[in-house]
Amino acid sequence: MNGLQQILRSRGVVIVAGSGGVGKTTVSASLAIAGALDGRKTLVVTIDPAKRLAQSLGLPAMGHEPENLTSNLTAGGLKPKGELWGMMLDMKATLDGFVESVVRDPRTRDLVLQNKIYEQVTGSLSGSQEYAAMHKLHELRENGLFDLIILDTPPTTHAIDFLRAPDKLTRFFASGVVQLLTGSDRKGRGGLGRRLLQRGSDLFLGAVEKLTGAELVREVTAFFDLVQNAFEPLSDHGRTVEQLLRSPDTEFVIVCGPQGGQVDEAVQFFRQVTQMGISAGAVIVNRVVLPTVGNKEFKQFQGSADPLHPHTMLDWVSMYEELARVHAAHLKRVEQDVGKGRTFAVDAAPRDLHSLDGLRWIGEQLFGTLFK
Amino acid sequence: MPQVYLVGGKGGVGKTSVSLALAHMFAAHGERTLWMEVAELPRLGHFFPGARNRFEPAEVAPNLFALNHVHAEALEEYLEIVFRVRWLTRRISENSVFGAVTQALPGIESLVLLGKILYEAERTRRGALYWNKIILDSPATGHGKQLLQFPKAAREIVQFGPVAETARKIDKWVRDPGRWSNLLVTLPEALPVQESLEMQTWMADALGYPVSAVLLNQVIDVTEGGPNVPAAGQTRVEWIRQWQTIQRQYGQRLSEESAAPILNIPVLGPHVDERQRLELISRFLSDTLLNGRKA
Repeated sequence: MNGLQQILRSRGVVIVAGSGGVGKTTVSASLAIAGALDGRKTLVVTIDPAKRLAQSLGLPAMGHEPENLTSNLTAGGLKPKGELWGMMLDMKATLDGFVESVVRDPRTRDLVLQNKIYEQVTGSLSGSQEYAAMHKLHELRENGLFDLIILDTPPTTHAIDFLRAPDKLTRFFASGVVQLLTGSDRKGRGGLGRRLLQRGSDLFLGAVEKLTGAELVREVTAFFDLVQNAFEPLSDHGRTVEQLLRSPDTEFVIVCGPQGGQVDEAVQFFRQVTQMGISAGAVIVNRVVLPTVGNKEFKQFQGSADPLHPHTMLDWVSMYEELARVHAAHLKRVEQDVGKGRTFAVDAAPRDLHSLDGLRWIGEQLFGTLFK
Repeated sequence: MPQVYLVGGKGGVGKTSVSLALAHMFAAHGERTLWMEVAELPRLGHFFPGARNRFEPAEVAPNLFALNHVHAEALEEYLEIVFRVRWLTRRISENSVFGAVTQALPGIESLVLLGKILYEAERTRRGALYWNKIILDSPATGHGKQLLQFPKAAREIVQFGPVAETARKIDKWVRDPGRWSNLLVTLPEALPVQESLEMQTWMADALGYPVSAVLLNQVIDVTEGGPNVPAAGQTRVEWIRQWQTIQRQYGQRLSEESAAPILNIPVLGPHVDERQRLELISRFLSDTLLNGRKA
């Protein structure tokens, strides 16, 4: 049993991180299938997957509530000892759900949800999508319905954004800025607080008004006015979420591409995460060109006379064997940094991965016999 | 020909290298060209070792300038233009209330980026436009959709003031195919092709004119009839053939359904470094786009 399988067996939450376009969603789905095959009741939470991935998991479209997909595995010839469930994270619904859980007064709650710019502000506030993901994760964990939850993170440019984002958001609300804006103190009282702050903040609010037009500022201020008390629990919630991240029950798995820059970023993220006291269990390098048996026969590829013109098949073979050596060197770099037991490679195979067959193939690369 | 080129595409398709090669191409033809990236981890240094990532345009090759757009700095620059008084804008931008509020304003990052592009596009020197070409390496998430959606979204919320004015101006610009061109980079694989087709439809609807071209990256093109491959290489031959089949399948889908013309950009091997690859693709684009020859 390898390190990845060990993670899937022993943890309750696996967060799959990485930049956009590296193959996180397919890897997440594959990990979830592995969990199900191995005997765990597993849920994969994806963010906005392509319709084809939904189909390969057996859904015409992804629902926002967990759906049992185990029968799709058995229909595909696999023998899950556990269960596979899947759902798609809907940021808006999750944030609405969060508002509903935090704002007790139904009238205020409705006012927030119907506020003209609520959707825009939550959409534009940096960290919202990541925050929604963590909130959902926390909720699912609390409900205790699943042994293992695999979270496919949003396609942020850099994996580190995912960790920083919720903190940014909670700090925004907890910083007192909201109170400054609305001219009241933390307990919602106006009066002295307002008068003291009035002079200072007016200059700056005036500047923003001039910049954007008074209407928008008034809308944003009205929104914050509305939620300032309701969102006090936000900072508490932020702490709970952070506890979840640091828990020994949670593991980060990082996915990256095989190029030098991508591998370096993944290793950097691995180090940053570990320094933050969060457990990072594996780096999965996707789309690696693995050397074929004849690799040694094709020595250094010099390149044809004009690299722009189509190569002969012999040129291509030489080139890809050379590329395989380059990728092998990158893999070694990862191994040296994070450990051989924590480094995994998935072949850049010429096949369609958005099918159960494709996911199964990825699983075989990562877990071997479990998928046979 | 348009002055501004937006290069969009999903993450991982090669937008940065292709957009930079395009910029390099124009520069090599004597056009003063500005290439802009929007990145927390700027990539310029991979192609031009030693080049520093700066907010102001810096020359990296003859006629080729590059900058890394950083929202906070650009916002401060924007403020200076609006308020015209330096010490005041510094006080404002350093204020945490201001920072917090502007962070929350919908579309603020798109506004500032588009405003910056407009500013550079309108710059003149001795009566002529300063930049012949401006190429934007679209921020990774959103394909540039978020960016292009901004002017309309802004108009719905902001009626007056400098932002509204800027939004109206930007709107006119992006809708003018004489001034603005949208290019998409994609790969001959299922998801990238699907998304680029969807993006083309969206852009044509939203802007009223089609995407100028689709740049199909990493194409494996084999010249048949070369020397025999020894037995040791047969596994790899099979692997390559299978990739060709996949690429042909999705390449075909793209050419059948794409309204925009498609340009195939070949795979270049590991024997060339990033800088060499840049120059090769730049030369390729020059041959195919500017000399009238189609790939």
